[in-house]
Amino acid sequence: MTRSALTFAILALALAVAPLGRAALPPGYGGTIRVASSEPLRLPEPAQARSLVEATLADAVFDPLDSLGVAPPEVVDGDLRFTLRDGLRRHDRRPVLARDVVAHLRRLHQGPGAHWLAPLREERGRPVAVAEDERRLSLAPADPGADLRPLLALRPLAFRAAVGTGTGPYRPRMVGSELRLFQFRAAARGAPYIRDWRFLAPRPRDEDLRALVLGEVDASFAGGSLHARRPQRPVRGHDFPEVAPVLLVPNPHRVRGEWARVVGLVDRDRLARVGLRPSDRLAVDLEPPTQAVGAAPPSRAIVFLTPAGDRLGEELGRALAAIFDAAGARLVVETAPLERWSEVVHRGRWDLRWVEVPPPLPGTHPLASTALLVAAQAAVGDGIGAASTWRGALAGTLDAETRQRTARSLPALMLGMRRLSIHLDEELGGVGFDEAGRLRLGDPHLPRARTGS
Amino acid sequence: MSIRGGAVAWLALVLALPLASSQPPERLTATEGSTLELVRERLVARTREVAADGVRRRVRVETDWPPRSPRADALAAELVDAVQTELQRSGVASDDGADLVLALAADGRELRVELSPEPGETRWWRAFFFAPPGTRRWRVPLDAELRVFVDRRPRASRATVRATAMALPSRDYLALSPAATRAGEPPLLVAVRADEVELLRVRDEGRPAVGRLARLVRPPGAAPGVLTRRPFATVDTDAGATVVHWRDRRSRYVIRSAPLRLEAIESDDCPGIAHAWPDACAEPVDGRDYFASALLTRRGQPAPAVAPSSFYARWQGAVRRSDGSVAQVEVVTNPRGRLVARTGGRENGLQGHGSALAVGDIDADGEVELLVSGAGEAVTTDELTLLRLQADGGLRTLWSQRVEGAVRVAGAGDVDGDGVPELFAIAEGAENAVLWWVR
Repeated sequence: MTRSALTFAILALALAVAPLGRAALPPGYGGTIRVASSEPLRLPEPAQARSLVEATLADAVFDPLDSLGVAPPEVVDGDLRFTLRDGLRRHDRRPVLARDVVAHLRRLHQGPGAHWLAPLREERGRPVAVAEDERRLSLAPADPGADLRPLLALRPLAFRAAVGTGTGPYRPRMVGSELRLFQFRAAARGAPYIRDWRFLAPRPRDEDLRALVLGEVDASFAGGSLHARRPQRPVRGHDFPEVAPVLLVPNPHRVRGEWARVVGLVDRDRLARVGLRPSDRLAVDLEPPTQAVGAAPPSRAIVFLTPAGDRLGEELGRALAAIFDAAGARLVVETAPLERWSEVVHRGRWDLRWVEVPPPLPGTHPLASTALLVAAQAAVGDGIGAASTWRGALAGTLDAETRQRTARSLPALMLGMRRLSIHLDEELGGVGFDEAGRLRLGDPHLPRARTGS
Repeated sequence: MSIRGGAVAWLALVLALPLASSQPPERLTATEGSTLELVRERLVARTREVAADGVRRRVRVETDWPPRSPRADALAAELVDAVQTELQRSGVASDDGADLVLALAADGRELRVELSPEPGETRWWRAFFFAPPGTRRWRVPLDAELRVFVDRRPRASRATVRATAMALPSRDYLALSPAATRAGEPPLLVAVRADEVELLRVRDEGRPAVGRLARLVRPPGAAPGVLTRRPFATVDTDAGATVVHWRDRRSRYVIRSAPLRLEAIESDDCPGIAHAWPDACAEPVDGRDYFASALLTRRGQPAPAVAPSSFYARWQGAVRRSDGSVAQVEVVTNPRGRLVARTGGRENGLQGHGSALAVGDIDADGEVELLVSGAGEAVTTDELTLLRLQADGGLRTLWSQRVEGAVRVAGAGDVDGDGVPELFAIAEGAENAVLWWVR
């Protein structure tokens, strides 16, 4: 063998052996993961997260208040006091001060998360939250003896300094129709591993699968393979916990007598293929919403409203239309852009819509199911009822019977629990979900050899 | 002073004289130069003091060497020669004079040197005014230079390395370090977990075993603002106490005895949230699980140089070569999975190594051994590798072992009391953790 041939052989051997040294190295920081989204994208807002996916994105950008505290909060003279950790930074690199948290709570009080702040005492129309100094703040309860500590654990109350600005492991930015999450190294929870999550605009299921097969995306909510072919990039499926109920909500001003007929028509078992596990109740310890059941099908065309581009909504609409069709009734599926969703819902030219309710508290929290009930009340449009239930729960005046009566009287039909899977690059380590069912985007990491960091 | 008082004073003086002449052994540790040269200097100086009484003397040597001491006679000859030369230079050397006994002995840990002059004939006034020369003893830890002569260990190789795996009582360890927690007792292994410290005793009485002596729960303390996604901790044993520093706490925690407990302390050895190394302080990179290369000055230490790169694990120290020279060695494993070793102006590296690093001269040959983690072929296995960092900066693989699970922490120290350090690493599988003891 000549010297050059020997050198070549040694080099080839070295190259062959080199990949062995990467498998169990410490987690790698870096890399970009492209995800084909299954629903329309917008900048995450914790108080307005309308699905498990949006809750996952919000959790990557914003931190619950309890994770910003230096120690468990204290109750002093009935007020809840807690101290922010030193060195906390927002995404714009400014320090997080107690007055920022107070301002955040006051903004929430004016917006869609107001019912969560009902247990706080109000003065001149504003919740009593006082910044005692730069790091300490106190919250005053509306009812003497109310325990305000669950407020700090609520995901919808996560600290939001401004639009898209929080303290979480990622900074969000809309780039065209894509949602980009850029890693924030000074995050209070620690720097995330993946440098950049790119959530691509939703597309039809077939295109989504094809992109995964061709390696154009690294993750998809659609499935692992197309037509039983193994994709070029091996992927592994991860199932979200089935914790988010999906409800069918009537428009009380339009359906009225037709609602009982709709309820009589809907067969939950036939909705399993769209991604719902049949269930008639929000949580195991809550009674199912009780609805009158009509025998005859609706006598007129029913308008079902869903956000444009939302795969679950579109598939749900098609499945309901098929059920209606089989019964000799008619269901019209109409879509509205997500950015105009609130406006279209408020205008009221629809008969049915659907809502998904991501859990506001971790499943292990004693008030988890009550908070889910409150979130469901707010999602179906009963903000006043939600505020009353939540205030009673924290004040200790919500007895078991009232709670079950509230669950029974929820003006919506329970369709099932959301079944959601994501198929991720097989090499991605650290994939996991938190106790509220959100995918922890800060944890997944690539092997060192892939990240090159 | 009364007559009785004077008599008591004289009696006390007479009783104190022998006490003064029998001094406790002096422990000799060379920091820069040759250890052998230091011993020789002390012997020469003492011989000069002994020769001041004018008694003619001859050198007599007594030795007690342990096994594996092939060149012990050469060491004895060298030291005898030094004493003999000084006697001749002082003009008191004689073949038929009193004996000047040079006793040399060693065990596995140290060399014991004793120089005791036997009494000789001298004038009464000289014995009255000059204190009679007493016995002087020295104890010298056996380093690589002395082990060339005494208690020479077989060089570490695939055939001689002994690696033992022992099941650990818990999982999720963040740091590991041998440390003396109580005076007079052999060092224990300090194994740090997320919110507690375990004190482990390693024994090798026929069958190696590890047992947990105590669990010390971490008291609450203030957390820093920016955390890391992967928890980690360091153990500092260089300030005379064992201090544990978790990344998610600002306070340091010292292990106290009687009763055994962890106590939060405010230490100013290192600024802010920096962790202590023997020579310097290192700041964790914000939100990351490794340290910045720009080292900070530790109180009482000179300003450090910049580390070769940011690092998961680092070891820095002076290594005594077998020729008596001292070399500075620095080893880090960096976040790219590269092991970088710097010595003698040369920097060398190997790719594919993780955060576990333990360094010690396990065969006392003047070249340190490195126990490092590397990735195995399968995702569920790691490779534990023993490397030798040669004096010229080269790295040579001595031994390797595939282990189940991931190896993230390691430590080095003399736990079995044989005078040379052993290397430890923890491999954590899906269900259990195993302590690897490499010596």
